[in-house]
Amino acid sequence: MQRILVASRKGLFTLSPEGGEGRITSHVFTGDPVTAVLHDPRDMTLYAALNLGHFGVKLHRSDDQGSNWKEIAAPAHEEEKGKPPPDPMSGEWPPKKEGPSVEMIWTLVPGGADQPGTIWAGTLPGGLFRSDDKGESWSLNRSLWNQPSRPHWFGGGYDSPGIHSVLVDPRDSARITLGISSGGA
Amino acid sequence: MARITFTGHLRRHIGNADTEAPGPTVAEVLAAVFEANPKARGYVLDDQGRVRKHVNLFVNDAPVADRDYLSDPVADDDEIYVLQALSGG
Repeated sequence: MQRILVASRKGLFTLSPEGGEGRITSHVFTGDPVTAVLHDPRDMTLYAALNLGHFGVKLHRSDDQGSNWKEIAAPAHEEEKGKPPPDPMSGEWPPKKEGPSVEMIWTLVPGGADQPGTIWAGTLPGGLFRSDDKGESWSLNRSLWNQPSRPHWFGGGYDSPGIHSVLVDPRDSARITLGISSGGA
Repeated sequence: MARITFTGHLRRHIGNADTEAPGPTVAEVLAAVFEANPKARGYVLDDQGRVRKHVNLFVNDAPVADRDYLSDPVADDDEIYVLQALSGG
């Protein structure tokens, strides 16, 4: 069945052909910004990334072609263990936490044909995350995050830099190419 | 135990999470709340456990001072409110 999935600031629309034209046949996450949508051609699973603004980044999955959606784990940075909080009775002003937090999922991409269940997520502020269990859990690609050049990346349209494209080489799933705005490829 | 009330805007995402929970600080009260409702945590706190930028927590009528570690003290009969900013013109 042909269809077009449209991720918009007002939800996720599905358009299906009818009489030579596209007709909206589904509208879910009404009113919520959907920043990325993925139809995984390997197992027909759908993924929708939301940015709820006040309430952060969320990820939903549908295992039945969009009839039902379930919120699953969203990519997230590990909580950094810094200085412990002060005794609340000490009067000492607590330090600030400086660690990163995912601001947006910009792209969702399936892994290779030989990697069932593997999903890549490109995010702001520049983290590349991988899931090997259809989005139930995620891990940050630390070698990219720790790249010496990363502090020089900067936002292109957004306040923070982000990974907008992930291309998995169909000849070798271990080889991926990224597009970073703004940080090159 | 402190009483925790969440903004009604969160109900469509996390259900009615209003409850009572023990703890000497906001962090410990919320930890007890999130233990019972794990999904709620990511809606209120960011990846580092800070209060999300456009969310605010009040203990009775005062906003929490420590948005990073939530070390503000809580008394047994206090009320904690989880609110969000409204945007638009």
